[in-house]
Amino acid sequence: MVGLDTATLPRVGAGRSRSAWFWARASSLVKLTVPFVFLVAVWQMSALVLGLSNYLYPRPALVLRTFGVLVAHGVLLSYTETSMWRWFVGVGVGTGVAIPVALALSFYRPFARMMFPLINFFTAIVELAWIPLFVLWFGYGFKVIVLSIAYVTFFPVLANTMSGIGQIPKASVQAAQTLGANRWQVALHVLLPGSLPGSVTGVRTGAGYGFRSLIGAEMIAAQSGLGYMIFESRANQLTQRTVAGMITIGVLWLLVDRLYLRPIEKATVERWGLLRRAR
Amino acid sequence: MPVVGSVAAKPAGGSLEVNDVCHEYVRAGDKTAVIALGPVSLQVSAGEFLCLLGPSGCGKSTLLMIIAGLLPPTRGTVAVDAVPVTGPSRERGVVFQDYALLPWKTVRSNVALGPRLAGASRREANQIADEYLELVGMPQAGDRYPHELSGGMRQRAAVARTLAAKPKVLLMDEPFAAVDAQTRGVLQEELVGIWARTAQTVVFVTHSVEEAALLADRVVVMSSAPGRVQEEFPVTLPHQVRFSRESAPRVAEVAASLLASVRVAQPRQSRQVASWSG
Repeated sequence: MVGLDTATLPRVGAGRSRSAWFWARASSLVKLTVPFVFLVAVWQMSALVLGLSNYLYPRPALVLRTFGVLVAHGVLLSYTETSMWRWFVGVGVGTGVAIPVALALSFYRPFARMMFPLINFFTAIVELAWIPLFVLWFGYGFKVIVLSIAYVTFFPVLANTMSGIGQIPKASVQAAQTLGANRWQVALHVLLPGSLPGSVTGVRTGAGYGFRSLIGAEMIAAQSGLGYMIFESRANQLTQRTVAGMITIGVLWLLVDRLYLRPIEKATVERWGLLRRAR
Repeated sequence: MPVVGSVAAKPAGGSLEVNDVCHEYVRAGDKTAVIALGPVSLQVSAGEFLCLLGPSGCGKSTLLMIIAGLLPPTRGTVAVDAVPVTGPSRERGVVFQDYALLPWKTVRSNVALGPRLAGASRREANQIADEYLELVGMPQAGDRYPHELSGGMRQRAAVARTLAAKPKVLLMDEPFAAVDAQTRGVLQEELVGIWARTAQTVVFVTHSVEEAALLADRVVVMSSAPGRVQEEFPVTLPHQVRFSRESAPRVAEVAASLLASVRVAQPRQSRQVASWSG
């Protein structure tokens, strides 16, 4: 009897949870789609009511056809690739600089306090304001765009990593010190892993800033990419391409955020939260 | 517990000397300097098990942190084997009350940290870690994470981690205060067993007279405000027999005389409360 129980119970449980998982997925997909269907409907209706030309107010059907053209010519894919690569490198550079700076600042607290107004000052200067200077220094293209993305990624990663370091229990650091760790070994074994949930939150925020910065920078300082397409299409009286570019950006962000950033953040924060509670 | 050859063969612990150590802090309100501790002087000989006993707030943990090098003394010096202490180092290992295991590392990696920091390869360090995990009676737990362990197991792992760094002096800051009474008894007996085999010098901070009576070669009772050495008690009962039922009355006798001393050591206000309550 006992054998029967244990043999049948898990299978029933597993079946139920699998179908529950399916319905949860399906319902979340519906919930995600409904507002967008609504948006397209409003767009179509307003186009009919306003009666403006496709140049001033491109219709959904035309934009859809434009997508077809852009995909067929390979432009959309190649521009998307270009833009995403710049974004990826920019976020990587910003994060790669911010985390060591956060660790260094945490070693020298009085110095760090002295630096905070400076950090605030630079946070306030929008990266687009830097672009004229960046172009002057590096010319048009990859470097300038990566730099402006790195710039906006840097600050949230720095702030969140530092707050993550601040939450590490003092005893963890002291334990490492009394095991023979020097300053850099404390950073490597305690501060870096201990502040990871903060860093991940910072990267997600920074990646969002960086994504917007990407488009802005590409409008000004690039000859390729989605931002370039959006800006140049208007000048060539192809407004539908501008709209197609805008939609692409929105969709890309939704995908990246849902498929990568959010799950990673959730996993880290949850896991570390569990660990911290049970220290 | 099985005896692990290479662990038992380790050289004896070092001697510790605390000379006129004081700790002062500046009170936030009127900016006056308050003496929290000292002057305190102590000599702990190599291989001795010393308990620092006192009411809460007497500065015994502060003294331990100063010995560890984690807190600079306002005045006075600390030396291990006649070498002055200038900061934290692996020669003075600390077992903290709340374990302070690194939650993102497995138990084995936690214990291996000391050897790793001392330059051992990952393989060597893991091997040492496994030896010490066996010493504390948890050879199977290496792959688990601290949050998967009970409080008692975590404290065993913390002891293993501190010992694996091969300190000259083992400093323990109320290490068993957070575990349940039954586990505490087991851990105390295990600690005495490990101490007997490793010939480690131990400074053990506690506010429990029973714990001090069970563990110590010598008990130093501290008074509060400022924390000073009030009285010293050598405990002559052999360690092998202290946990046996027959010895219970004699241990209780030691505990009673410690308690009398602690009562005197308590500041007046709390002493009144203590006499009211029984």
